[in-house]
Amino acid sequence: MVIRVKLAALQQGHWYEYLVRFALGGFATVVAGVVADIWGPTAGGLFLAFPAIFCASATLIEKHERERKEKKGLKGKERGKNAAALDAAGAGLGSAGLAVCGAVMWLLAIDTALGSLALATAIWFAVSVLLWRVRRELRVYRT
Amino acid sequence: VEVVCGNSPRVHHATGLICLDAAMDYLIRFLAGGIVVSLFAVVGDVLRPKSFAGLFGAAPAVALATLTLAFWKHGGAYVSIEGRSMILGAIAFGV
Repeated sequence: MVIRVKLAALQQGHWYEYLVRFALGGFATVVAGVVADIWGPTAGGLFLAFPAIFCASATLIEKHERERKEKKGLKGKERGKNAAALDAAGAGLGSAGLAVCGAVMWLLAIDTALGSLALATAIWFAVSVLLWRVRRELRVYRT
Repeated sequence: VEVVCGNSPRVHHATGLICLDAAMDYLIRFLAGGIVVSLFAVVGDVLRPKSFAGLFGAAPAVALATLTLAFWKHGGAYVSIEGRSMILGAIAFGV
């Protein structure tokens, strides 16, 4: 399957949904900072993997998909749940990439600041996409 | 209400109020985190199929915002420790 960009999806969102995401992302980052300030970087680091995007997105995906189907006069509840489940499956794979991203920071942060951040992000993406691809291939193979 | 009390401690010992510099630091964190999370979320919104877009639900958005500031304020050793703990956080997320 080809990965594609659907810009029309942005029109489904309301302004306040973007505001909620912004606030949730900001709040999660502040919490990570506060925890690190009080209990040190070992405890603070645990919050770096906080699923801020996933929490905000999963409910929105379910809502948008349901509304889209209901506009066409179809029952969208089940479709909405399935869309959120697919998003969660992807996030699960992405979390493995996130763990590798943390490992790169652990090993390289002392040597290079910007380099380790850039490399960790690139490796998160590469590992996540690789796992997603493997999962797809396995599903095709089974069916 | 905020008071000026230097870098450490972050909470004023006598009043229990958050220090002015710490409040500014948290404001910067809030803005940086909000922007990075929003950017990754928008990328996830426009990508299809949905299982691929879901990968961006686990993007290192909070980590990028926090670690960039941590490099600036504390240096590489501090970031390295945070990165090590982040591995456990990511495993918990996956579970």
